[in-house]
Amino acid sequence: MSSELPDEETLWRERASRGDIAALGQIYDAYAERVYRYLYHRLGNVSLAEDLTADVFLRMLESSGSARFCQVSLAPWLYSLAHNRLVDYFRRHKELPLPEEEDEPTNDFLATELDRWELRTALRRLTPEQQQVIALKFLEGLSNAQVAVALGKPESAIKALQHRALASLRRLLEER
Amino acid sequence: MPPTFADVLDEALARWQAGESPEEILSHYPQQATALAPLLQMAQRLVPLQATKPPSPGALAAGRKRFLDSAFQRRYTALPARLKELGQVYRGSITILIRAHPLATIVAALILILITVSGGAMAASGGSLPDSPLYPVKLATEQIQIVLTFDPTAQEQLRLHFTERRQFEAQEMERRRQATTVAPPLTPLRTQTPTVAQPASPLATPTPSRTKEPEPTPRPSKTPEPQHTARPSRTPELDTPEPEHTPRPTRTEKPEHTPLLTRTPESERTPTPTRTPEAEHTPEPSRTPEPEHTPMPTRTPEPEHTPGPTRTPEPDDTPESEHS
Repeated sequence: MSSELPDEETLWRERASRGDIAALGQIYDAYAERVYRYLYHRLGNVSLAEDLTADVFLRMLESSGSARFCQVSLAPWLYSLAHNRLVDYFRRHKELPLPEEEDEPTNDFLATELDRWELRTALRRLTPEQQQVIALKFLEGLSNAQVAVALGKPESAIKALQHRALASLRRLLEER
Repeated sequence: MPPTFADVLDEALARWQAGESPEEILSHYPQQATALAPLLQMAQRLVPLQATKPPSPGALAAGRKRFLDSAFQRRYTALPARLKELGQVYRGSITILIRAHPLATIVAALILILITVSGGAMAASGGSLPDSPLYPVKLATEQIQIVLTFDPTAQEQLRLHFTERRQFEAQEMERRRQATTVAPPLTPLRTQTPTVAQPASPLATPTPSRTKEPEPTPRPSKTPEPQHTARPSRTPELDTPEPEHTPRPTRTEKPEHTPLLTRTPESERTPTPTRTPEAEHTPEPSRTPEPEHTPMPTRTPEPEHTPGPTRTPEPDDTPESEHS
C-alpha cells in the first residue's frame, strides 16, 4: 500500500504533523476503506467495523504530533492501530458480534456465515502476532515484506509465524 | 543451508496464491507433502473471510467529519494547553529545586541580592565626595577598574581621569568649606562687636602695640584702600550708636579688626574669605555713612599737618595725634 503513494504520503505526514487539516483529510480518504476492511474481516459486523474505523483515525490524530508519526509508513502503522483497537474491544467483549441478518437468509448463507464466525472465533485465540500475520497476509493480501514492515520483524520471522499460525488455527478448528 | 519447513510452506503458499492447484504444489514437495497438505487446506478455508461488505454510504463520511472536527479542535486548543503544561513544569521545577536543595537556593538568592545591592551602591557612589560614606566604595570601584584594565595606555588614561576627579573633588570640598565658613563669621561678628566695644576704653592703652601690628602693613600703601574701606565699613556700625565718639570707635575698631586679622592667619591661608566678607559689607554701609564721615576727616586738620603722606598713615596718625 505504501508503495503506491510514497511521495504523497511523506508530504501528508509532514503536513499532518503540523496540524494541517487538509492533509489529515487526504490521509483519511486514502486509508479509511482499508482500515474498515481489515476490521470487518476480523469482526464480520459492518456497523462495528465502521465505529472502530473512526476510533482508529482518532488514535492516529493523538499520535500525529509524535516523532514516530513522521518516521513510519502510514499503512502498517494504521493496521497496527486497528489491531490494538480490536484487542481492546475483545478485552471488553468475550464473544464476537453476530453477523447482520439478511432480509431472506438462505441455508448456504447461514452455513457460510457460521463457518466465518467459527474461523473468526478461532483467530481470536491465536497470539497477537499470529493473528496479525494471518489477517495481513491471507485477508488483506500483503506480501511477506509488507507484513514484516508492519510487524517490525524480519521476513524469516514472518515465515515462521505464518507456519505456527496456520498450524494452530487448524488445531483449534479441529478441536471444535 | 537446506530450506526450513517454514520456507517450504511459504513457497507452497506462493504457488497456491499464483493459481496452482494443491495437487501440483504437493508434487513439488514429495517429502513434505503430508505436512503441507493440511496447512494448504487451512489457507484455502480462510478465503471466504476475504469477502467484504462495503460500509454504509454515510458512515465513512460521518467518521471523516468527526475526525477532522477533532483535528481542528486539537489545533486551536493545543497551544493554550501546552502553555499551561509549561507553566506547571516551570512552577514544579522551582518547587523541586527548593525542596531538593534548600541551602543552595538560599545561597543563590543571597548572592543575587548582594549583586543587586552592591551594583546600586557602586552606581550611587559615582558622585560622592570624600565626606560621603559611599566615597570608599567609589575609590574601590576605581581601583577595580584600574586592575581590570589590561591595556597600559587605557590604564594610564584611567589613572589620569581619576586624578582629575580627585582635583575636582578637592575643589568641590573647598567650595563647600567656604560656603560653610563664610556665612557663620558674619553672625558671630555682630555678636562679638558689642563685647569688644565695651572694653574698648581699657584697651586703649595696649592699642599702640596693636597699632604697631598694622604698621607692618605699610603695605596698606599697596592695598590701603580696601583695608581702609574695610575699617570704615565697620566703624559706621560702631559709629552709629556713638556718633560723637568717632575717634574712639576707630580705635575700638582696630582691635576688633586685629583680632580678626589675627584669626585671618587662618584666613590668610585662604585670603579670599576675608576679602569677600569685607567687600560684601563694605558696599552697603560704606556708601551710606561715607558721605557723613567724609566731612569729618576733612575737618580734621591732620591731612593738613601732613599733607603728602598723611593719607597712608591717616589711620595711624589720627589716633597718635589724639593720644598725644
